[in-house]
Amino acid sequence: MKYILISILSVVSISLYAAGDADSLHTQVAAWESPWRSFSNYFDYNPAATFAVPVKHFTEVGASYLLSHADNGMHLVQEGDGASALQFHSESFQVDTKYRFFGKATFSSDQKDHVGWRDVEDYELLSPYLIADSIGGTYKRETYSLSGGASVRFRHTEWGIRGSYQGDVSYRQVDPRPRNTVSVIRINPGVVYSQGNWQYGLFGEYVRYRQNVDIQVERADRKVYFYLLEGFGIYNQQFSVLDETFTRIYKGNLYTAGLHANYGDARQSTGALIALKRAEITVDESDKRTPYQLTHNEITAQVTHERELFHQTLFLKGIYSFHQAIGNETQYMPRTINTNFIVWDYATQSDRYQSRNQHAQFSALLANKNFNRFSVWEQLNGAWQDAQQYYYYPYYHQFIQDATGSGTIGINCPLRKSMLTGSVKAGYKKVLSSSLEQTENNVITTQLILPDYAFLTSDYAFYQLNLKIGFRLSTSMLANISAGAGLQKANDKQAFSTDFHININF
Amino acid sequence: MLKIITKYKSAFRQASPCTTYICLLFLVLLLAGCQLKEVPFTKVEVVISLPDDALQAGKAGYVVKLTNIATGHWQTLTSDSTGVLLITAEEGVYNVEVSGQKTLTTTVANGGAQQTYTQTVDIRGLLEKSLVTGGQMSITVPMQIAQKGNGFVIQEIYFTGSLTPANGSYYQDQYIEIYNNSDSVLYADGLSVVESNHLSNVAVSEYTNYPNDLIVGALYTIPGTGQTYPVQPGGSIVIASLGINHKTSNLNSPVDLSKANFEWYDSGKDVDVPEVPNMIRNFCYSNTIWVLHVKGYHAYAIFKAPGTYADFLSQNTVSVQTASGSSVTRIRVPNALILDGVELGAAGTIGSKSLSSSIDVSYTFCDGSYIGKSVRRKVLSRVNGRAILQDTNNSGKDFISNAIPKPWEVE
Repeated sequence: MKYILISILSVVSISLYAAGDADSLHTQVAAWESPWRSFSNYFDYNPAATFAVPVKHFTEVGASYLLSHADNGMHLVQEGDGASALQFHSESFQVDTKYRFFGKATFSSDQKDHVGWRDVEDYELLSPYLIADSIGGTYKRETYSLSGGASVRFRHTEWGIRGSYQGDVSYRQVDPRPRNTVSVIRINPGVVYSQGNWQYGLFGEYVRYRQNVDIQVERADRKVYFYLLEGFGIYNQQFSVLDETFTRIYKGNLYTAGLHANYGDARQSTGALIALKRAEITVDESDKRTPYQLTHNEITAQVTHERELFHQTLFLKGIYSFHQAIGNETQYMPRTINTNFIVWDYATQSDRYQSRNQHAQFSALLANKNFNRFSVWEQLNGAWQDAQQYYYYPYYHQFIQDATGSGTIGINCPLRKSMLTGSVKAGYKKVLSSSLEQTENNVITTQLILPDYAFLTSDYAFYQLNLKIGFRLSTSMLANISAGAGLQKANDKQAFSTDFHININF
Repeated sequence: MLKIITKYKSAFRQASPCTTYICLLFLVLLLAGCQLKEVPFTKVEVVISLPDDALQAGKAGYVVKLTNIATGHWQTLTSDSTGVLLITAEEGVYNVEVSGQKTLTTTVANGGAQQTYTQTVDIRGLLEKSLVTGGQMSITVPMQIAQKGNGFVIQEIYFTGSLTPANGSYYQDQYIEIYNNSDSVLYADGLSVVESNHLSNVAVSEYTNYPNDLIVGALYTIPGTGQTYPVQPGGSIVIASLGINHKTSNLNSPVDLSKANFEWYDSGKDVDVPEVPNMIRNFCYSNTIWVLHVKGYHAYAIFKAPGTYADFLSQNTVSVQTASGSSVTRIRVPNALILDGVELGAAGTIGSKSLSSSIDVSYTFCDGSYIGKSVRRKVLSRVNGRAILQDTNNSGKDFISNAIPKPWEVE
């Protein structure tokens, strides 16, 4: 904790030293948070793609508070029915003639209520191979993250590297008490070559992931049944156990490689990006067993286009991604040595779980890039998703195909001593087709599989309102206060979320 | 738009070998990621292997159940007369269970003749944690007639007595040993030993009106409040006629019963050894003392009454006729209460049995009286050093005849 705070303060100090002039602050902040930043997001993949960052100087420290609640049936069981989070962050991006520096530090403390059927963090990454008990409860988490990077430009080439560390500890305070310690180290190098109106980029990323799961039952006379989940309500009946403790370690190595190209002139810009991701995760248990291995493969391709239209700028973006996860399971045969010591010998291994998700999204945004005048922007989004899960022997499956459409209207309103921005979004998610085939007759099916399936196959409308006002505190300092509210509404149930932010920009 | 596409084409034409290599690398990664290592299956030949004493039942009609111990999923098939089944199963570690209920005929020598009894038994086999792999394999499952007694069983009955050096009859060294055949502590409190009133050398049973009961002439009960006399798994209690070292009283006696757990004592007419706790004499046909029939014409059983013995006796005292036709008062013990029973008989003299075939389908014997021999139950297997005694409700198979009496020992 001490080192994290020192790191955060260091980033803030660098930011203050490099702070820009006061007149451009409103513009810099507005550009940093503009709705079209996500249309040209090469910098998120490639630390050398600073050409895609619309500002030269941006520094912010701030705090956020988020609160949400969902009715029964409007949330995933493993997400819980309510959440609250308090977050502090500091972020900076600075451009010199030759160098660019960027960094971000965050600390957050959050809580999720009535979480069920998981005793691990990052359950989406690690599913279906989770540890779970049938009791569940409130999950608390503290997260520290620090990232920093730099790029340097030599004539036509810009080289960049970004590194980050994230650590989080999550826990429950009633029996059974899981304590999950997660550490994520990320290295992300990249290069961009510019020639005339063209920019070509290559990038890579390596992520080392570790999660130690340590579950304890403190009450002396009590034991809990630990289910080793394998998906679709199946659990390993050889090693699931009624006990007072359980430990497991998830180890992961994630690799990403990609390239992008962008053409831009004074009137238009067109770009394309492709990224391939592969993650290999192993599950280590006591007795030197590695019963599960998960492999994630993902390809993401996106095309963006930007051009002048009606004295405004039209942004178009299409994304397609395909994600596959394969779960490999090993079975073991016990061998007894000296009558009481058991060694687990390898018996057989096969791929028994697979998920295949396709996601396609199209977005169009018409906006005015001039932040010094009142303007209205409009955005339309359409998305299609096909999520398939399979279990092999017994042959189970779950198919869900849905489509989502939404429209957003936003304003940018400069006032005498402040800037008001806001947006209203409305959309609808419609399930196009779905099916679930599984015949496990147990508590996992009734308490996890069926409720999650019911939520994922429900249609609902969603609304989001955001308002933000920025005040000039001094010639070189800006304060921003913003609030948001979201609502998801199905026929007879709903979920809401609110968020509040206070930020200071230098 | 065409202009942009043309420019892209031009750019790719100028692409360096490095870029081409990276593109190919992506393609290889993409293809490699899509391959699945499918669940492998193995054809398993399950062979049912019956013990000699169950061969007559044939191999048809057994249910074979394969359970994957990791997934918990199982499949079942029923055997035909070959006793060989082909099952396709995913590779893994399995428990293979085979079970069937059969009617067996047991023939026991009765002098020069043969006595035949029928009995319905469970025949079972279990192979735990068998590795199924390799595409094709064979598993042989050894079967056995299922154990009946998983609690208290009669381990040994020493009824023959011995001869003194002067060729005198010595029956005071008789005993019955009861064994805890389970894997948990049992309590002997309230456990009763009974002797059938019927004699097995009588041609026809007098008690055909009581097909579901055992009519007994002696009923002795171990005292206690419920948990006074624990018996450990693999432990036994010896109930003696007289709790002394008989080797000193009779040099030919094979046993020292001075450390007997209990003795049956007939108040006022019997010798009482104060160091050995007495059983409660709830009923006995004898007006003097109770002695086990030295030729082994009776059956012996153990049971626990559901309530108090006072209530049990009042509800189950019946008036029956003896083989000679006289009317006597005896006790009726429902078969359902009997934990274990052993039919004794002298070879060549068996007329009719006392015990239902559901308790003991045949009988066991010794070759004479006053020969210092006993009948002792066989050891089926040992689990972590604990002997599991054989109990298939067929004393002709389960017991060793003419055994050397060895109280508190299993072999």
